[in-house]
Amino acid sequence: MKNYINGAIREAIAKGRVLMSKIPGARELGVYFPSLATIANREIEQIISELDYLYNDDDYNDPKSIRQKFSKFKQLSGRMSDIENVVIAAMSRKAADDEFVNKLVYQICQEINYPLQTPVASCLSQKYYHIYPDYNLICIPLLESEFVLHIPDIYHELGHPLLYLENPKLDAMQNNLGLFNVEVRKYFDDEIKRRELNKTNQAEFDSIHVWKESWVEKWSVELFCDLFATYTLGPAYIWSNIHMCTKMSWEVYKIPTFQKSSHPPGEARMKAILYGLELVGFKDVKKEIEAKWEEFKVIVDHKKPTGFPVAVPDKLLKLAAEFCLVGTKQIGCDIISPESKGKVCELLNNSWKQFWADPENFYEWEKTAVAQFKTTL
Amino acid sequence: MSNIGINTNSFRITSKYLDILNDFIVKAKIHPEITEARQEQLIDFVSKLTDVNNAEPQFQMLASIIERELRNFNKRPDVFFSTLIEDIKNKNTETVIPKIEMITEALDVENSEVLAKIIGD
Repeated sequence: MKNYINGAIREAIAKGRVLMSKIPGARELGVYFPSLATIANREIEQIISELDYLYNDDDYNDPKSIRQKFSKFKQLSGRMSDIENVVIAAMSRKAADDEFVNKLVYQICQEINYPLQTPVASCLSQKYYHIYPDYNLICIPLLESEFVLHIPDIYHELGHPLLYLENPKLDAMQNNLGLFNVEVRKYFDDEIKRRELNKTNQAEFDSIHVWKESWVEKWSVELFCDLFATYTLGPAYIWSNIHMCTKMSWEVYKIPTFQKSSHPPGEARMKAILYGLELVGFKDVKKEIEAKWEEFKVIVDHKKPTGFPVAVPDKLLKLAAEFCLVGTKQIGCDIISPESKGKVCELLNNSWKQFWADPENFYEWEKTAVAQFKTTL
Repeated sequence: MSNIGINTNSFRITSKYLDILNDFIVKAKIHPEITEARQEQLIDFVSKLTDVNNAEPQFQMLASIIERELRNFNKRPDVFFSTLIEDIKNKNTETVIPKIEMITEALDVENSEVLAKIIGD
């Protein structure tokens, strides 16, 4: 296998060079995508240089290091395929609506005083809204440029880089996430200790560890992104979250049993963002949204598992809302208020008001509103 | 509701520390003495993992991933980490390497899982 790994490394280096040659030139990249090309070139250069080191380094070529050599090769290959499947693909499959979504994301970042560079937007996502913080690329589903009710999800995605990228501007936000996680760990450690003392069968599996892992590794971040969206956009984000749950997530009380999950249950997300909404002065709208959410829960009739209050205690949801608000303010983002102005913020919040005023004729209103809005960007 | 953002973060963070730890193992196997600088670096890394009051989200994530792996092998994280720190202080390469390998194994499992999800998601 020593020969295999060296052959595989050389092939990967060649692949990197081919990938670099596939990065489109100025004419194809247009106005919005050149920064993506720069990132792709730099990342591929870095991967090739690391592969080259792995191929030539005497210590890595020692038979004792074969496992580490394979491990390092696997990561570098993963990074290369990420570049190929995400960045090169986004640049190569530009769509007519990219201009609009890029202007839209730019306008949002201006309105909320986003502390980082505006991400490049591609509207060819096949996997709902998502973001790649390292590439500064946000992907939006194709038809979203014609509709408004899910656009608030962009605000959630903008939260991810703030919680992950290493940049001194973001220290305060990440510190608040970290302080919140300290509380999460303490809560679960205390609960684990209590359970250990009362346990009759030591071999019995307890999901409490899975809940703790889910919180620390995934849920805290997702909740902070939900809250960031709430603090910068307001009620429209929460309405949009209900809209998403009606389409994709009926198991509103679902908590993991054996393996950690990526997102907290819908009920937990709603409770946290409703706490957040009240913190920024939307008490009346909060009641309205809460009432609709309760109606939805009756319709889907998902049964609450007995462990739910332990897995998702209210006190952690309230703490998340408080810590995230402090972090969002400390990094200088503009917090929404009932008086906030801003083209996108007004469009999205008014859209939901209009939707509830006349749901059945909303589409006609939406068509006109989107067309008019596009002319103002 | 996409998992891509969060999985990409996990992939990048685990890759970063896998890289550092793999380098350590490779060098330590071939040049078994632990230098003062390396000793300090390792103690700092392990101490951050064990500090329940550490507020760096990256380390909180890494600690959670490693603790899970240790539990799967019926090892108590507090005992594992404190003996590891002692071994590093004593520059006992023979006992340090297998423990660091166990940590890299935990990160490697997570790294592979999230990569599969990113590619297949």
